[in-house]
Amino acid sequence: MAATTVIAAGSVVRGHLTGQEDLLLQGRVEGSVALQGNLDIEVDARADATIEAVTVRIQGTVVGRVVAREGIELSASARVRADLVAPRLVIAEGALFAGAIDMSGAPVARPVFTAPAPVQPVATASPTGQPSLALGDDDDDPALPGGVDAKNIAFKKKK
Amino acid sequence: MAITHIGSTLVIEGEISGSDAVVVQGRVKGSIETSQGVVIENSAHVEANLTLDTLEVAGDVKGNVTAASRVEIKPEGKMVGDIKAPRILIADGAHFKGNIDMDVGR
Amino acid sequence: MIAAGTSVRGQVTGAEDLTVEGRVEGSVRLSGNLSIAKGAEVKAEVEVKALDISGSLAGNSVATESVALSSGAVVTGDITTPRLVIADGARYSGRVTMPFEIPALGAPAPRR
Repeated sequence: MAATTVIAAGSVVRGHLTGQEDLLLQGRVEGSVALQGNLDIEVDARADATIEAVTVRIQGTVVGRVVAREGIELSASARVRADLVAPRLVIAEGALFAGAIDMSGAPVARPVFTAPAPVQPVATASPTGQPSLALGDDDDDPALPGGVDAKNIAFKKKK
Repeated sequence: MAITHIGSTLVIEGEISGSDAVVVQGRVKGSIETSQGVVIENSAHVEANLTLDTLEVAGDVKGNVTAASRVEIKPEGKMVGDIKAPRILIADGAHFKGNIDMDVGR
Repeated sequence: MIAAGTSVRGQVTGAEDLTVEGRVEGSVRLSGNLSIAKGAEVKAEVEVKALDISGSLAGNSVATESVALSSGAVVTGDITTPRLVIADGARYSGRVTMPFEIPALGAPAPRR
């Protein structure tokens, strides 16, 4: 993934980050990240943050909350203590994870993180306002209920 | 040398700190502190206090700067704020408004 | 093994491995492994060694060894286990508890 933004291994960013591009995290972030792009968290990186992005790949440490419009992937070296919200999720063997997982695909009513008002009008045309995430937009699966509906199971004892 | 690169669509409200060089193409409001160099590119808008080794400004900077080695404001650069650095270069065409202190006690 | 045409309602206990291809409602407690095959429906509290799900499970589960959700699995309920694998295409909603520590901010990150 070609990232235009890189937070290198020796850097810490504390605060709110927003953007419309991919971000490669090799260092640390504390606060919040809202991207209309993909987030790649490398093996020695750490995010203590509320995260919103299109896809999130986690090879390092995350504490907080991760909301992805398309999918979240935890690789073998991931250590994550966070709630995950996404229509697609892969957790590889070896990943350490604790938190709630919500794959129901229900649209996010409002962004988890509200981007601060820009300091001045941005010179470029693209707005830096809140990303609008509607989970399930790209979901090809037919609507699946959150769980098995007990009423539909007819249990018959067979001898 | 590792470089932290803030892309042109990125907006950071907060602080960037560390031991990497920093290149800014987007917007930063807050502070930047590094033991390495900082480059503010033409598309960048920075409203922050900056503490660094070297600074190169080709974009928009509003804030005070403390540099261990040098500050350069390029022709396209625009800076409002005070500079404390042992060496300063303000190119022809650059905009600068603020105080300059070149006696950093080195 | 609970075959595809079979439904069981009640408590299932045992020391062996169990494969469910049919339906189970109630609870499953094994010192062995539980495999919920594709097409199977389990609505139960589960306590086993290793839990493999390709079908559907609604209920909290505790697996002392591992839990694996294959593509096509549909699972709701809390999962407590030391090891977890979720394949692409699995669907899950619930809370996962795994025993591990993340050092507080400020402490140097330990190497894995």
